[in-house]
Amino acid sequence: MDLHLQDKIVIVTGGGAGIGGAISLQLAREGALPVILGRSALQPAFAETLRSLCPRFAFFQVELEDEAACADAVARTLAEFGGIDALVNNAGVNDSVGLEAGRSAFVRSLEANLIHCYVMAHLCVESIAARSSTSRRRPPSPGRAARAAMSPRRPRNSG
Amino acid sequence: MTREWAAALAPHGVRVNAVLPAEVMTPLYQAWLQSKPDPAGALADITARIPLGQRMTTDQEIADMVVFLLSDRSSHTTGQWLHPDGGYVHLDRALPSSH
Repeated sequence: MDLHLQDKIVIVTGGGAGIGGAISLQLAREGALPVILGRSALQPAFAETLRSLCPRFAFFQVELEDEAACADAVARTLAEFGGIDALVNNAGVNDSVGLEAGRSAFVRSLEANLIHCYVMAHLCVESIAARSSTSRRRPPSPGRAARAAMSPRRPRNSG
Repeated sequence: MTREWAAALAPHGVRVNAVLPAEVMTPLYQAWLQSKPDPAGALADITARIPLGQRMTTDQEIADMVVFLLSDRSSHTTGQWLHPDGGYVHLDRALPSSH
């Protein structure tokens, strides 16, 4: 089944390991170009596998809670690839912050898991919408639609 | 947020969907499991409660769902929550009666 993802530029937060790593690899197998934003450097074996599937993939080592760093990564993506077709807000972790944890721990949890989803969508939406061809009335032409996906909840695992 | 953004962006032809994994063996899940007194027992307890196959979901199965949602093959799907979890969240009635 052709997914019509050839040469689509897809940002994947936390896309260097875990579920996010699997998403990046599968995008590459489908001919898309994953742009990974992550806190940690890529593991060499993962980077090698991804490079063999998609030599042009991009990686930005950023703290997702740092809005300026996210904005810079998005700007560099736009400069290098000319646009963004989709965003996968994958990064996050189940930190088990419950009612006993208190306000500051809760706010930290929101910063680590939720706020960057908004920030990334805010930064990417203009380009994604500009490249979208999903019509309100007719099916899209193959390979020209744009969309965003996000994962607001990620029980006990991360990207 | 999924539905608000989906509603806001529908006029622009942009779709927004959420994928909600449950029990997936990732490095962080592995670390969480190892923090338990009996990791193997804890894992067995969890997988026993997953109706489809009594096994963990793989990261590939999550990636396949996400990539499908990113593709034109889901071109009329927006504002949805997808649960690729072997029925863990919604189908406990499919478990043996001991559960």
